[in-house]
Amino acid sequence: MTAWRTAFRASLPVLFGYLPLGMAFGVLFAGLDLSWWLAVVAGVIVYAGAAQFMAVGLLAAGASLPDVFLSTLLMNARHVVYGLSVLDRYPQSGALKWYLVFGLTDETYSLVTSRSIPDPVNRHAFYGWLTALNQSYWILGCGLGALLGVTFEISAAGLEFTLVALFVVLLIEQWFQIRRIEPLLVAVGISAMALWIAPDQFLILALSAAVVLLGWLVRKEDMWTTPRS
Amino acid sequence: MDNTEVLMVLVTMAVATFITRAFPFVALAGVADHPLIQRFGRLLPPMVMVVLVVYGISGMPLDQMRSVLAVASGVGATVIVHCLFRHVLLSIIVGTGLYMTLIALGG
Repeated sequence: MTAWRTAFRASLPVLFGYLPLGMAFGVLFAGLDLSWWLAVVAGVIVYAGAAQFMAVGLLAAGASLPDVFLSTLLMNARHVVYGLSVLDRYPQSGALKWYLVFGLTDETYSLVTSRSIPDPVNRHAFYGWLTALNQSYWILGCGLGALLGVTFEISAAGLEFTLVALFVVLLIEQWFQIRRIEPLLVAVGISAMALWIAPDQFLILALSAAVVLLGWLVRKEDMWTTPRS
Repeated sequence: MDNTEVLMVLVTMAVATFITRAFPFVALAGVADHPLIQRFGRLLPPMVMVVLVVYGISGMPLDQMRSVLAVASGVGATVIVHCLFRHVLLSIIVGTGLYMTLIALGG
């Protein structure tokens, strides 16, 4: 079987995940009264699910570029861990390498690390097709959703609550991943402090504090990782 | 917000995202599979989301008891629906719908 066919088969579950999720992003994005093609641009150049959803909220709130940069960096910090575990699987140089690095999303990572490729000659082609197919589903979803959102324009008082709801949803998704209350409580404490000290500089202050405090706390012996007995 | 401003936000995010993905390929190859780094990468995103939830809520009108209750109900509905169905768009629509209804009824 060719690398393309193998990659297409492997990517099908991602198609059914990315299309509705990309559309959800597109609809929310269009809700900000922005041109639909900007949602496509986001899918092409950013290509990160959680961060793009966060972008809708940040755009709605009119966050500054440094705030956007820092939030995205921290939101995607988990990718550092992904990269490490595919270092030896990916090509060592060339344009393909950098495209694969660019397209290392949660889903692509899980496919790349969970599948064994029988034919080593085709391995890099397989990774290339897999990454490109996954991204094309995502871009398609973003564009369709944005077109849909622009067509059925909704406007009413209180629509800005979508931003809060979005962050709440993303937080619940994070909760399902870690299932530990302690880091969340620390973050609540940090947020309260930051709101109290400097509400105008809330994001940058709270996010920096989260990094510093977590950097200190993770050194604690087995804290937050071993299940409680 | 015009297209240029949005594009600048998107380019900023693209750069930041690429940095996180390329980082281990450029540096850290020997160090970063350290359990501490892995734990850090796993625990930071939920903390970021808590900060963003607070950021979002603090941007809502909270000057009256009624608006505080509307926000609390909207958040509650979003949580319940999302835990039940885990469908991003559905949760957001229900939560926002309830909030908008309460605001409309109150005003």
